[in-house]
Order: sequence, then structure tokens, then C-alpha cells
Amino acid sequence: MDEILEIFFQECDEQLQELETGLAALAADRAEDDTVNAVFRAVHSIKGGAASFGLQNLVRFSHVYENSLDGVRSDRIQPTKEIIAVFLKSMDVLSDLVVEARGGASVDAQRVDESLTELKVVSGEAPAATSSPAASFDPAESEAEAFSPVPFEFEPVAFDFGDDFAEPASARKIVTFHPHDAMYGCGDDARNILVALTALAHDKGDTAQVECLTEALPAFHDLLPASSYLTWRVALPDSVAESEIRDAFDWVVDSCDFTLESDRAVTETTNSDASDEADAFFDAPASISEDTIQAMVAQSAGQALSRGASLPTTDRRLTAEAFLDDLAPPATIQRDEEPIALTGATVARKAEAASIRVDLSRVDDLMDLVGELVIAQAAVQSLCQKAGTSGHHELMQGIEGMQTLTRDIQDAVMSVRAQPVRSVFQRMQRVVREASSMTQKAVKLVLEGEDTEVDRTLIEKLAAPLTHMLRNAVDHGIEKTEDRIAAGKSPEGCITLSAEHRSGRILITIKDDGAGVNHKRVFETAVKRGIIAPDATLSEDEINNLIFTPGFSTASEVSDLSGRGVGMDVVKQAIMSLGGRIVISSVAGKGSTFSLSLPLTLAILDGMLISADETTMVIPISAVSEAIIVSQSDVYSLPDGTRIISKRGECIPLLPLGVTLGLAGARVRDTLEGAVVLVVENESGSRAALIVDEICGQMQVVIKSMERNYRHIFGVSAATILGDGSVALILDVSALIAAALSQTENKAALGVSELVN
Amino acid sequence: MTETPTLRVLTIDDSRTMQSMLRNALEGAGYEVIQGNDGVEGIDVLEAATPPPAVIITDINMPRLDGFGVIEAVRKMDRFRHLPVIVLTTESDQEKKARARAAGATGWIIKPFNSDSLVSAIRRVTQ
Repeated sequence: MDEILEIFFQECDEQLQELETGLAALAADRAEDDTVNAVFRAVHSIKGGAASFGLQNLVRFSHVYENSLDGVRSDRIQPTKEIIAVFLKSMDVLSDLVVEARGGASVDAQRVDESLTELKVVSGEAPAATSSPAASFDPAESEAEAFSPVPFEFEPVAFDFGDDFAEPASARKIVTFHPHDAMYGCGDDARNILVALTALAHDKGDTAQVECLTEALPAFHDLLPASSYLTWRVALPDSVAESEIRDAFDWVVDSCDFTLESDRAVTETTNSDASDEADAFFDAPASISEDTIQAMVAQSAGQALSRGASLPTTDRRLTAEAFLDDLAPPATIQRDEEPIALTGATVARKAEAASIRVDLSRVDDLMDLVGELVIAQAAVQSLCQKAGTSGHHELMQGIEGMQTLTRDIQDAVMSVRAQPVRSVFQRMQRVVREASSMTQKAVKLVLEGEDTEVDRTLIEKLAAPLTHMLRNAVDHGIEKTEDRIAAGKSPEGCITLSAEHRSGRILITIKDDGAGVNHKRVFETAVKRGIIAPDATLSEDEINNLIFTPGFSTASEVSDLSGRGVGMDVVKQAIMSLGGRIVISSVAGKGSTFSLSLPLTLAILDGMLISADETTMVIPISAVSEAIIVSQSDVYSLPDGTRIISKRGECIPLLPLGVTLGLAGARVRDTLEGAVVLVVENESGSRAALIVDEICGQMQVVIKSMERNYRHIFGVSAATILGDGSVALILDVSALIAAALSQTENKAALGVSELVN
Repeated sequence: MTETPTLRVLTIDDSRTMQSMLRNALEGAGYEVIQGNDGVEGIDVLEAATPPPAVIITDINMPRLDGFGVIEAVRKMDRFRHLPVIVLTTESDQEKKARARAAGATGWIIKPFNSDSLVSAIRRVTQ
């Protein structure tokens, strides 16, 4: 059951997304025919599942929600902007209730009630609230009326008072019923009812007597096979409760005449004792003439044949059991039908065309294997080159063909793992909605390029930074409504969140039409926080980028939303840890734009291949800011022997890579004239210059976890396998920079500026 | 009552939760389950199923083809004109029942169901 519950929650997430998509379409006035239905279905499904698991809060809420949506679906209610706003708000509550049901934070009851009231106003179940909603609304009470799931009970309720309390065995309940033609048209059969009724008698350790009344049966040549002529009378022991009998007719009340009476009249006419009476009933059909039986059989056969049964035998003693046994169960007969191979194939194809669910780990395994394939392919290539086969034109062609195919496979597997950013983008609607209601600013979020696909591992990690940035945009970016009006802008702020592919990376932009970065205020704050000197001259771009500095916050009042000053520097770190970059541009009075550039996957990395002390290693390209050929005159030694390099007036600690990593045979060079250094930058903008021997090239490498396969090593974040089959370590730039900084920290502060100047 | 032979039940529902619960309950009671994930798929599966199901259990609210549509389609097929179709729905209101009935539904089960009620409903039409 736990597994099913897990499926349910997964499905809830999907339904909530469906709901969000649908409501967004409604709000934007681009709803299609099925949109309202889909929205309704989403809530309906959640309710259905929740009821099965006894998740009462969820059932209660989704039921009311569903009612309101039903009003829209049936065109009773026009989905105005206000009503859609209610639906959106309710969706958030619903989503939180799902989280609650999952064992998450419980939802504020008042919030739930508030939404319930609003929904009821929409559906007309509650009067539009003119006064306090609580006064006119008692959720418990109206709920009880509105929804009471009635579990279907077909099995008789076991009321057994024992023999002492039972009425004398003589008393019988007589059920008379006559099915309409329609009952047979619904896949039902008098037989089913007879079985159900006799089963009721059997449950009481008794038997039922069945009599077939054939008065209405026309002459054989007038008989219509699909019509219903027979009436059945069944005598049941009195211990069978009336409700049980009625239950047996539950499905056919509209297609079957049915009366229930006690057997007093019958007892009078037969005037016999209990056991005789039972026998009399049992034997009753024996008195039917043979003609009648023939006709009866013909009719039954007509009905039975139409569902594929064989002819019953013309036994004179037509008892219920015998009669029923003759009608073979439909299923057994239908089993004999010929397989229809052609249709089977069609269905199989259709099913494939739809979609399948695959365990994510399998796709990951596949990705791993493709990584191996890429490596193996490169190995073959380099072996061939070594063996001097470059003259073999055909062999080289074959290898090139393989290379193309390998790359295609890699792309194909990547696309399996790729998902549109839609899921995370749509979650942002809620973020903006909440932020705008909290700040009392009217803001709408426009999504663009939601279909842009990215590796799913990345998608999950995008949510947090995007949330933060959008809150910031609402809180700091968009002006207060009155300011907007004063500036001649539309009172409603607009934030555009868009995604697009650009040169093998994904570019996400968040653009607001607010006031833009207030350069003067940012500058002043930066000075106040000691981030820059009061007399520093900075370009606009540099000022914009100050907001990414740790501890910077321009909000004069700490708001609930984005305050506390951990803002954009945290975002920048998060983006950089994903191998991404973030840039801001801003036009005063027109708004700001944040551009995030991210790799499409976290499984493959753009690396720079370098060698240091005869070891080949990989540095993530996103971390490399420049490569320099050193001129000795730029290098300064500190008293303890550590060195720094001055570049454009900035001092960067030099780190001999081989020595730092403790490579065998590594030594510190006396002179650095002509040496190659790579300036690397970490998430917070600190830099270090790595001394390497050579830059060997640039390539995409498949990331293999070190920790999972070996253990954590200082300065190394992961490993990869190169074309020649050798393992290369991927350097952990942040760790190296931290090492370089701790090495020079104090000394740099001492007298670097003197040294440089 | 004699034990029923292994009967096939076709369940049509777009909710994986519901499908899992149905499968659980039905397989637990010894039925074989085949599934369609919406009305259209359900009809396809029905046409292709060998042997065919002894009964169909279908949801009402589904994309592409809803439960009413499923029943109507089944009733138009010569082979399955008389196949019992039980609708599965949370709505206990008469309107849905009446519509399903008019379309040719044999009976209904109200969600949430327990496996006993499900099995007795199936027995009601398959014995």
C-alpha cells in the first residue's frame, strides 16, 4: 500500500502541474476546449486518490475545489480574472495540503478555510462574503452535507441474531422482478440477480426457490429474441434482510420492476407447513407445461445466445440451480473466441507511441555506459594512430563513422534525460504570486521558452536560485504601485522569465520592468559596508555587480521576503557551483536583466586539459578566467617564499599546482619567466593563479565521482577517463583557491600594495 | 459458491494510483488484470485482448475518451454488446449514475472502494 501511496503523491505532483498549466492558460485567455476539463480532472483525481487513502483534509478541500471547477466546466460560471485568482490561490493551498499529507509542514487551518469560503462563493454554495467570512461559514457543517463518500457495499451486512431471534423458518420473503429490455442492453442479466439472491439464501444456510412466470410469453413465432418476457419470483428465507435484497437490485432499480412482499398470502394459498412449503416452491416449475418450458428456454437462449451461451437442456425440473448451471458463464465462452492478431499489433504500436516510465537509475546507467563508449571509441582511435594506420584510408573512415555515431548516441541519451524547464518555471508563478501579495505590488510573471530542455539533474538545482532571484525582482526590482504610476508605467509590474539554448548551454534570463539598479544607492551601501573605497571609480557595470558581493543588501528595511542580506551572493555561488555564470545589466528607470548561462548537464563538463609535472589534469573551463605567459617582472616573492603575481594592478597568489597537490617529483621552479599560469576564479570571485606546464587542449569529459569510487582527495572534485584510457583528475578549483588564500592571506594584507606600487 | 476460474478484468483509468489499487485488489482476489490508461487505450486493449475480459471497470473522468464514451463504444461492438461494464466514480450523485446507465453501464462502484466491495461487484456480473 505504501508503494501505491508513493505513486499517488507522484501523481499529485503531476496533477498539480497540470492544474497550474491549465489555470495559466485560462488566465492568459488561451484556453483550449479541453483545458477546463483537464483542470477539473486534475483536482478530481487528487480527490479520488486522497479518499482512497483516507486523507481527509485533502478530500475535503479538493471536493469543494472540484465543485467550483465543475461550475466553470458546465458553463455555469464564467472564469473571470477574480475567479481564476481564487483558483490559483486554492491551488497553492491544495499543493500545500498534499505536502502536509506527505508528512510535511501542516497547513494553517485558517488559510484553508479562507480558500474554502472563496471557492464556495465562486460555486454559489456560499453567499458572497460581505461581512467576516467566519461568521457565516462553518466548514465542518457544510462539508458534512456537501460530501459523504458512500462506500459501495454489495456484500450483505452480517446481521446475525442467531436462531433464537430469527423468525420461524416458515416465513419467507417473496421477491418478484421483471427485467426491462434495457437491463439486458446494459450487459446485465436476470441470471445475475438470481445468483445474487440465491447467494443471500445460502449465506443464511438456507435455499431460495425460484419460480419463472411465463404469462407474458407470446407464441413462439411472435417472440422477439432481444425482448424481455419473463418475470421471476424468488422465495427467500425471512432471515435475509430487506436491505440486502434491495442491494441486489441496486444497479437495476431503473431497468427492472421489482416488488418485495412477505409470504403471508402465499402461505394462505398453499396452506402447508414450513418444510412442505419450501418443497412446494422448489417443485413449482415442474408444473409448467413442456411447451412453456420450450418457449422459456427459447427466450433465455435468445438472450443467452446473444452473449454467446449454449442452449440449456430442456430438463423438466427446472430449478434455479439447474437453470443457472446450464448457462455457462459468459467469460468461459468468450475465451474461445479467435485471437485477433492484427488488432493486437495495432495496440502494441499505439502503446509504444505514447510514453513509458523508466526508472531514472536505468537512464543514468545508460549515460554511464555511453560515457564508457565515448572513451573506448577515443581509445581505438588513438591506438590506430599509434599503430601508424593513418595511411589506411578505409580504416580511418570507419573510425570516423563510429565517432559520429558515438556522438549521436550521446546526444540521444542526453535528450532522454533532458526535461523541459517548464516544471521549475511554473513553480515560479507561485513564488511571484506570493511575493507580490506580501509586498502589495501587482506583478505578473511571463514565462518564455518553457519547452527548453535541460538535464533533469540541473532542473532540480535551478529551483532555489530562481526562487531567490524572483523574490528579489518583486521585492527590489519592481517599484511600489504609486511610484510606477508616477513614472508613467502600467501599475502592474512585469517580470519575464525565459529560457533558450545558446551555443551548447542554456541561457535563462530574468527581466523586470522596474526601476533598475539605483547606482548611487548601491555605491553608497558598498562604501558603508566597506566593500569598496569611498573614492573608488567604478563603471556602471562594476557597480551593478556589487550586488553579488557577500553581505550586500540595499533594502533599507529587512523584508520577510528577500531581506537578511544573503541575497545575490548566495545565488551567484549556487549558479557557479553548477558550472554557470550570472551577469546583470540594468537601465535606470527601465528595469534590470539577470542572465544565467548554465551547462546543459551536470554529467558532462567542458574541461581544459592541462599538464603539470607530467600529470594530465582537467580544469572546468567555467572556472578559468584567463591564461597568462608569465613575465618574471610581474612576480613578487613574499618573505616566506610564497609568490604572487600582479596583473592589471591586482595581486593574485601563485600556486605551483604539482607541489600543492603533492605530485611525485614536483618541485618549485626558480624562475617563472615564460611559465604558463591559469587564473582561476571561484564562486565568490576570489582568484588564484595555477602554475602549469602546458595547456593540452579543451574537451568534453564525462564526470566520474571520486568519492563514490575511491575517497575524497584534496583539490580534486572528480575524475574522468581520457581517450587513451588514462584517468585524469578534475580539479576542485574552490579548494585550490582556498589553499592559495590561506597561504597568502596575512602576508598579502601586510605589504602587497607597497610591493606593487 | 464455487471458486471462479481466472477471469480477466479490464480496468480503464487515467490515474496510476487508482490503477495500482485496482490491480492490487483484483489480483489479490485471483483475477487477471489488463489495463487501459484512458478511454481510447481501453477500447484498443479490449479489442486486442485474448482472451477478452469478463468485465470492464472504467473511470468516468478521463482524457480523450471518458467513461460514458467507453460504455457507448463497447455497446456498439457486436462481440461486447453484453459485456458487463462497471463504472468507477467518486460521484455518488444520481446524475452521473443515470448518464452512465443510459449509456449502458451495468453497475457502478463508488470510490473509495474496498477490495471486498469491488470483488462482490464483479461477482455480481460474472458468476
